[in-house]
Amino acid sequence: MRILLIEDDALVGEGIQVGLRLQGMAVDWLADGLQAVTALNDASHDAVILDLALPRRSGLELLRQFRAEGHTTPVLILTAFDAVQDRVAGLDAGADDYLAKPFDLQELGARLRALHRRRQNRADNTLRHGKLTFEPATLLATIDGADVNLPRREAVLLQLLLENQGLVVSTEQIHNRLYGWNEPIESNALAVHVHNLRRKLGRELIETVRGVGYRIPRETA
Amino acid sequence: MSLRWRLIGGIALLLSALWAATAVWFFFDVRRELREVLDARLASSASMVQGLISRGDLRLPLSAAAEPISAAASQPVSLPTELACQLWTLEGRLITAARNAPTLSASEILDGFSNRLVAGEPWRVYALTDRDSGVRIITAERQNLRMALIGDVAMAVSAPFLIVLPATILLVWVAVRRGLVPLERLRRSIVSRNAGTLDPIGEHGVPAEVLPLVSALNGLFARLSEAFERERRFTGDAAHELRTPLTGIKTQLQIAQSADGAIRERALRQAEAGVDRMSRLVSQMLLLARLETEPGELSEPESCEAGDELQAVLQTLRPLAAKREVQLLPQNEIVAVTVRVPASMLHAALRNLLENSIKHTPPGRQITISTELTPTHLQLRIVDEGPGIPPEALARVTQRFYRVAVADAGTGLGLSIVAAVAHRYNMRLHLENRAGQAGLISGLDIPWHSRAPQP
Repeated sequence: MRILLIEDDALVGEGIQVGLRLQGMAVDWLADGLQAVTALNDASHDAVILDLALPRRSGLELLRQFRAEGHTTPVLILTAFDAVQDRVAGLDAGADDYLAKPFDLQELGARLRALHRRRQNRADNTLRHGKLTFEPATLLATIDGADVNLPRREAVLLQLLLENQGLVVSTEQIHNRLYGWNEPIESNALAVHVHNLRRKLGRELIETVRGVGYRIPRETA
Repeated sequence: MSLRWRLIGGIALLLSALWAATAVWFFFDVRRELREVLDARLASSASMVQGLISRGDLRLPLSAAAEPISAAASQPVSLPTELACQLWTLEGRLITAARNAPTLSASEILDGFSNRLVAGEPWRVYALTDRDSGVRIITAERQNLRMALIGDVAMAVSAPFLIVLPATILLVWVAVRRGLVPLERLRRSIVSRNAGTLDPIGEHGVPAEVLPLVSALNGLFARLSEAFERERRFTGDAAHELRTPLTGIKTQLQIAQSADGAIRERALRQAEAGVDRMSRLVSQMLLLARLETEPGELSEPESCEAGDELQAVLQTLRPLAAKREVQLLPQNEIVAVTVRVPASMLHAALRNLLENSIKHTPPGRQITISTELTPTHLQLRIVDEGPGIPPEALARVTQRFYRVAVADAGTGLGLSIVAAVAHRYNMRLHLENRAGQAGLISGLDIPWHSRAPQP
């Protein structure tokens, strides 16, 4: 998953960025509500974490404007105010979920996965293809019950391809998903990752679509 | 002691004393009156006889040898009962006497009223000498009859007092009860209030004597409510503000638990930094809370030496300034003045002002600190080369937890503390942007109390 984080506090922001990265998510972190407006318009994120207590621009206002412009990206709001009326106000302004500070990192991750799952209309977290199952929460892949050890980037790549079974995922999309803004992209790394996945999971799993990207074909009956 | 019983007891006592005094006075007055009436009766009886004699209605044998005329023989002199009458010659020879007359010797009796003891009984005697007719008329009356009469009358007069007094006390009791009804109503309305409420007590229908008390109470309630509201708001704000650093610490610790190596190390360091930040925030909040307390609750002296505090603050902040490569330049010697501000408060205000400037000044720049003494104030000015404060934020910058820019790593309480100290101790806070270049001029005008003697 690729997350956009709008959080003004340095400690919390860094904590979320590192913490979610450990769970296999790429996090782009903005500390300023004004900058967020531009970023939100670029629809390359799977979910947005928005801290309501922002200086200079109220988080709720930002959210309302975002929704008014027709963006449907799921938004999870973070706030120190957890009275019922604040929760209601947040949800009615367009938030999809609500988490009070201080929160548990695991819970944050789980809720983000839930938002993502709902968006992709999937019943549960687990991604399946034939004998392969992949658990996004733990980044664990198994074939026929046997665990397959995958480093983080490969796991995230596999997740992306499994989520889009039957569809071609372009190289650009893969780059967006795998790497946040501040992470360097190694051009050849992608090919290496695909190669490793094929080695561990079977050559037929991932198809190369020349000049475009990669695809995991839909399961045949 | 109950108000009601004080009133009733006091009034009853007063009334009883009054009525008793009145009854006694009455008694003596009546007695005197009665005596006068009875004496007058004696005298007028004698006059009546005298009149009868001088008109000739009564013939008297005036020769010395004549026998005393018995009452039966002479014209019976009709006199009121119990009055005795005697007629004597001027020489002292009894002419006639009523049957019940006492044995008196006329020569002993002077004209006018006198008391005589005859055969062991006290008599009231009146003597009248008529030289023209040559007789002395003496009327007399038994004292004990008199006393009985006087006693009866006095009793008749005083008895009502005795009956009326208990009745009066009862009425007083009823009247006092009724009179105190507004108080009773007030008592019931207070008792029926919710224990925790600070709503004002209704002043409608409260008697004028108790009204000042109720007004004062309502004033107290209002001040208490305000204080509670302030505290509620403060703790509310504070709790929310504390949640953010808490979140930071928690997330960093969770990262430390699920990672290792460099990530873990950094997370733990960040968690510690978060704890430091949070404890600084807590100290500032406690300081602000102290500033809200009523004067007289602080345990330190109410004045200090301004110069000493400024020196101390400069000392404390030099390491921070050095780390940020900012130069601190005190411009002049501070004249030793005493100001009416507790040392810790002045220290906090100066420190927060200077720290604010240090944090916002870019590296390599300088901050000048100057003081000037006017006849009434010590004017302290801190001039920095930072970005200043945007004009629209100037008014709000002393609000709690307000931060101008996102990059403000502070707690947001620094300037609120300075403002609170200034307000509490009659100092004026100055915040203005420099003219012509970037930077902020912040400062305090502190009324000074006395200065050390010049060398």
